[in-house]
Amino acid sequence: MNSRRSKTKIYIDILRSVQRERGKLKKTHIVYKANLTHSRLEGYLDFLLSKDLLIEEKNKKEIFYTITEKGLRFLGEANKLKEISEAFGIPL
Amino acid sequence: MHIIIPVWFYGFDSAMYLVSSLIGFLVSFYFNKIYSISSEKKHMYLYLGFLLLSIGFVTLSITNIFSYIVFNNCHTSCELGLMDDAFSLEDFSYFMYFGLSLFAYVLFINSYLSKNSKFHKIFITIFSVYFLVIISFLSLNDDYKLWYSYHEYFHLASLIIMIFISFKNVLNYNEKRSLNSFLVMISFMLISIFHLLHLFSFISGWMYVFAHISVLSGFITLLIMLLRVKK
Repeated sequence: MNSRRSKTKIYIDILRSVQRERGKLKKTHIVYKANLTHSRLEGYLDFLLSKDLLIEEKNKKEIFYTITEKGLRFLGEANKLKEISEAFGIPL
Repeated sequence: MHIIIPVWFYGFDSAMYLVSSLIGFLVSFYFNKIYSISSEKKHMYLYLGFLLLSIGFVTLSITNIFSYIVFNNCHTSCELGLMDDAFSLEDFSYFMYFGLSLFAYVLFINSYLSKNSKFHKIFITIFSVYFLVIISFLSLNDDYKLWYSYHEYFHLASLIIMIFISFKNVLNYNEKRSLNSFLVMISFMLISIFHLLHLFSFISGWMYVFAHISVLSGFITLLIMLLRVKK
């Protein structure tokens, strides 16, 4: 994965990681699937939660992050832009 | 060399430039969105490239309409000064179009080439020398209207750049084998053909007509690609 990812690209990577796991993922799993450190992930998760792209769910002692409808729509838009970019041979 | 433009085609070329520019603005809009996600310069170059190209087409379209109106009025009553004014404006707008388009194409090169690559340096050096030679040569030449004398050099330079961009897109299509990459490849080829046919517009008016059909088809192909992705 690119080490100089933009913020938006990191948000997309986090959402994509959650979506791939049936829309629900633990924080520790997001860390390695989105290739981030714990400390960096906190800030990104706060942003995604504040924008209602992810929601936090507590299940007994564990915390899960679930992608929302709004998050899925955002990811859909991002995938379309990726498709356009790849058609020009300059991948996103 | 001169350009033959069929009288019946007057106005159609302006409309074709206008439609092409609207599609160009749309492509530019999407690359702006892509750039906001990636923050990569390659995407910014395509965003700015399509934006400048579209502004160039709009400029040319408006000036052509204005020139044709003046030209038509001249059949009945026209003073020489009015003709001169119209063609001075044409000089200005053609230079804007030439400059903006070439700048846009150079931005396209930057999207497809790494700035550190040896080929990039050779390409830029050759073009710098080429432009210097043209400017030096044409400053001694008073035979033509100013924009007229630059016409063929502009289309030759554009053709060379667009062949390179088309080649890069052929490689991309060979790798991806997707319909969208095929459509982009075809659109760049059609824009290359537009410049090629312009070089031969002194032979027949049909060259000018086909050149414009070619550029419009190229931009419509890009529109089809965008609509396919958006549906």
